Amino acid sequence: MHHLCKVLLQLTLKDNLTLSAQYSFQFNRRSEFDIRRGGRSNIPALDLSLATQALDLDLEHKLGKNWQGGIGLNTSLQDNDNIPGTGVRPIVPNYNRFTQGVYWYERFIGKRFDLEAGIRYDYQYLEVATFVNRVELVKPDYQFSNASFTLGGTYYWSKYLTLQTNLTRAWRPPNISELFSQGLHHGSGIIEEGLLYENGQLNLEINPENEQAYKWVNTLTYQDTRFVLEASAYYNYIRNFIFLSPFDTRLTIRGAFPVFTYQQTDADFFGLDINGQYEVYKNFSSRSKVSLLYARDIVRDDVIIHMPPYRFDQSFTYQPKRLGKIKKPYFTLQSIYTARQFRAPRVVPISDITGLTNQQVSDIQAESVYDFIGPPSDYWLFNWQMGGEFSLSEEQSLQVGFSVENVFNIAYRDYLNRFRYYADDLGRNFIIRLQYNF
Amino acid sequence: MKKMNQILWAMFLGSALVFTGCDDDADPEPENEPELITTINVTFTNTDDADDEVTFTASDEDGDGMGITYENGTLTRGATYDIEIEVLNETETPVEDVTEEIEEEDDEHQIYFGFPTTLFEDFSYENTDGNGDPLGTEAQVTVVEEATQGSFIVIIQHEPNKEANSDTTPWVYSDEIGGETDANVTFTVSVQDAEEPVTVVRQ
Repeated sequence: MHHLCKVLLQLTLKDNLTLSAQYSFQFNRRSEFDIRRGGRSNIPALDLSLATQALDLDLEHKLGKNWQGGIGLNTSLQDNDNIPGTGVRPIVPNYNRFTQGVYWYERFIGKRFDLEAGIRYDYQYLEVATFVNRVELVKPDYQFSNASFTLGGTYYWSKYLTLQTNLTRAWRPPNISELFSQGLHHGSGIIEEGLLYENGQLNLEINPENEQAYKWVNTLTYQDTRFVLEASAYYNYIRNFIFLSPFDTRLTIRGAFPVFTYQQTDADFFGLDINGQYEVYKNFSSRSKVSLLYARDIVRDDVIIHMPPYRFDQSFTYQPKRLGKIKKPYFTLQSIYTARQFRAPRVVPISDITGLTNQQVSDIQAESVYDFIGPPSDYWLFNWQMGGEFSLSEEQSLQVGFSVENVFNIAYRDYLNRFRYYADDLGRNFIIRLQYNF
Repeated sequence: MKKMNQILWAMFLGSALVFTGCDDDADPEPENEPELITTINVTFTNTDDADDEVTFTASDEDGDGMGITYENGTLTRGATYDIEIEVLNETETPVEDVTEEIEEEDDEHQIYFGFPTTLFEDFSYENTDGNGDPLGTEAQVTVVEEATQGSFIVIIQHEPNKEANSDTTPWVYSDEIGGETDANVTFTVSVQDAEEPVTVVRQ
């Protein structure tokens, strides 16, 4: 069940001054069901009431032809509650969250170049009601605040070539599941523990830190009638980077499960993204994408777990205007190569951990981050997409799409998918799409 | 000036709505978890000697929480035992007997067992569901004459595909059987020789 109500007010105060105000209220009632024992399958296993209100004010000004800017205010209030009576311990505690942001930005639009600068201050108040050892109610509250800024410029080198550079400082507080996750996730078969947990126990003395990022992005764009190239190189330094990492194994009455904990460290990221599109021949085009990322844990001078491996994506599309009765037909062959993540943590198999004493396990944990299994091998996937539109009458038309994912039914595991600990990823998948427009 | 008034009204209404959300929430109550399994008792009773009764217990007082404790036991070589399984939720008062729920929904449950052939032989299910398929809250097994210490696995499976059970060893769980695992515990079984019957020699 979902309700949304929105009120938008826009006023032109003077020729060069516009105020917009938006208020929105969203209410969600989310009930999830599970197969349960004792005729309880029609009682939701997860029953949430989520209410969010937001007020956004923005005052925009223009100074002459070249200057524009604005100041504004974002306020939101969230009230998320578990509805009692599920008979299942809630995975996320009840919480109220109030956020307040204020910002100011100015932009100079020139003939050959643009400049932009902005600052922002955010405050968050989080109030949580949860239980220690199932029964003892605790109501911790947290305050997070920080300033962010952005500074950027675009230089129009020629009709075809644009250079862009951007320096930002951003932050985010840990979210509720990063703080309070505790217990077995039935979907992924792992036990997750938030930043506030220590050896499986909620420790309210722990002070979680904000994630703070400094990012410098440089983008070069070339565009002519047949060829588009966009190359973007970035460096990102994140203080108190939050990540989920294998930590231990735990024997429960449902069997032994791997335990993953949320941890924080300082990290470096160097990345390069290249997108190219080329019209090889009339109606026949090629599109290429390359994503490269190098990540490093500065504190431990080590790799970071679960970082996307190198990826190369190449597709060819044949898209004539018409093909007999079919309007806007398209045929696409896509091939994606994903490399093995060679910068993955060392492997300590579950079977090695279960027999160890607590001291031996802490020694392993202290040494460095580890994974229960190694990164999956590289893999090459092929996808096929085709479709078009049939006119049935003046107004009615039928859009048809047919696609095959993983055409060669390759067995592979995605390094970022937590199911990789248990099973292969999806095999060949046929998708048929029909859309009737009238 | 009229415009300014409009804006002030809009802001006032907005903030009024925002702050109506600030009323205090009632304190939540801890959720009762009727489906939780905290304890599994596996009782072995010697078919020839009712005094030879050994109970193995696995308990995890808060369910999925902080680990599990085992109480293991010693069985007699060559003896045949009736096995009875009791599943409890000890977080409830009075203690809830989950076995009753399992037996009521017998077609949706099966208890699977795992053991080395150097420990047990002649395993048989002693109860079935309404379709005549095994259930397993009652079973029977014989300890091998030359038995050595071994592990004994008990798996309570919800919604297994009993069609996928092996014909020769229907108590062995395999991935094809599927379903959701309600419990999976491993006991350590020690073995001892049967005490020699005391022969009273008259002189």
